[in-house]
Amino acid sequence: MSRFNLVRLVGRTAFAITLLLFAACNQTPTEITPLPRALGEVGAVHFTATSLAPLPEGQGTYVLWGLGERRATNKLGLFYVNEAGAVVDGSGVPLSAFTTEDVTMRTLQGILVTIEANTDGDTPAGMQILSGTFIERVATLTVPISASVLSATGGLRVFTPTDGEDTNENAGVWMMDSAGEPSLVLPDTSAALNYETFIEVDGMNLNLGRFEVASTKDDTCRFCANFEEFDQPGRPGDDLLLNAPDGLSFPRDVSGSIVRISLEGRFNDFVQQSQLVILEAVLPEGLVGGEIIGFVNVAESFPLGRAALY
Amino acid sequence: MLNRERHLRGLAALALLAVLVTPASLLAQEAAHAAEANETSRTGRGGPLNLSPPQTGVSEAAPPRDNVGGFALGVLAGVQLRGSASGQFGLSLAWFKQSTSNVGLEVEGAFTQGPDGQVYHGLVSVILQSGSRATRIVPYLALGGGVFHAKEQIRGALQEALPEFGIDPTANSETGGLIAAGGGVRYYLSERLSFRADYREMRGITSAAGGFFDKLHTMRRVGGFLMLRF
Repeated sequence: MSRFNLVRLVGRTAFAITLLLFAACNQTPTEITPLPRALGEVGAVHFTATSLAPLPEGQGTYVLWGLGERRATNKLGLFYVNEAGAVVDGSGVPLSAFTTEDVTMRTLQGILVTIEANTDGDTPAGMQILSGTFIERVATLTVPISASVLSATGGLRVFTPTDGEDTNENAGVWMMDSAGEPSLVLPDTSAALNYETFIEVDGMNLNLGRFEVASTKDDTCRFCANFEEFDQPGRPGDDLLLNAPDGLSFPRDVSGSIVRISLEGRFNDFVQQSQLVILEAVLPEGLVGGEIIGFVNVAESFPLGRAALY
Repeated sequence: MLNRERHLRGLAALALLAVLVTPASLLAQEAAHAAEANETSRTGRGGPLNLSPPQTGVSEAAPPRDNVGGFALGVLAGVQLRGSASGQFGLSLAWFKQSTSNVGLEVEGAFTQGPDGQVYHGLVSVILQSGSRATRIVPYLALGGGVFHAKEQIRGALQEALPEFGIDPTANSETGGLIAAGGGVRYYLSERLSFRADYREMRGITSAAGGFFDKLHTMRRVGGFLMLRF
């Protein structure tokens, strides 16, 4: 083999090996600079939230998810909210950028915040508290329920239908008017959330049951009397007559208590009431039964979020 | 991490070797062929060139000087495969060795319109191809280096929203080096006109923090060149 042919062979071999090795690597710089950004690379999901409440111990952890194509969910990271309402990491350091190597960030179509009891899962299983869709790479996150929740209204009736008339009439609250018709105007629930009623008495927040629509009864009447002749009305509500929790004695006059209707996770819900309170009624002292008390809409305090792909 | 760095260092060494060896080979071969041509002319051996179209798939002996060599001007249209399939357009000027045309140099300038900005690049490549036009189809390899200038573009809702996250919405730009390797196939449409299907692996050396290998950004281009020899 001539010297020129040998040189040529070495050169071509080097070319071929270089090409093979080159193609085997897929490199992205340690930070997204103008070059990758101009070509469409996204460095992180930037996220902020307002009015998101700190979660008490044992009440789960916030998890941010990216929603990709074909309903794919990708965990972007955990976060916490401090007393000032700021998004922070586990060490209390402010946090705004989330990223993952499991998905091409540019392809994310939406964003979701859940409250997870188990943060090891790869798919969201807890209460969905905020969600949004990216439009021009910016998403506004809201509670996943119709915006008409802001105009939800209604009242409750104080009486105890499950032990008959004129007995302990100030020991029950029911979402119906004096004619027995539904007294709440609420939007339809979503696939992620449904309604739940709580009453705060003597510092304890008692769950009175969850419901889908205001025109049917809720899923439980745990403190009701159990006389066969007095059926539970077909509306959400409860009497505080039996099965008193430790620290309370029933029948309990509901005067001075606070009734709240909130949105709760349809699955893996926590015992405590969520921060998504829609309606609140402070019951005055001196109730005798039969009063109709109006709710105040407090949904304006719902959390909001913003996210950007950049 | 160590293995990756070792792998990349090996890659860089091979690329350097190829860049150093090829021009030397090019010059040496050109000189040798020139001497051979002089000898042929002096002794009266040799004959007229046979430039009639060869039968497809039939390899013929390369003529001493194949006139597919020389200068060629090309237009490029391609797509960046990485990212969001950005379009790329450009011009190239190539020179192939007159004697056998199996080695050439090409200067390319191109513009890429990305979804969030523009990238301009200039690239000088060494082209190794199978040489004389014994068939219409000629595979080739390419290795080169150059520069890029990237300018990001932040628009609309994103530009308005970025300050909410403490990010300055001013568009930034950067300029850096570029290394590239690739290959393709050239198809001669006529004696002067050819089409090249080209694949190019490129690494932009960005301004990111860290070591050399932390700065690299992969770009992959599939494109076509229409080349006119003159």
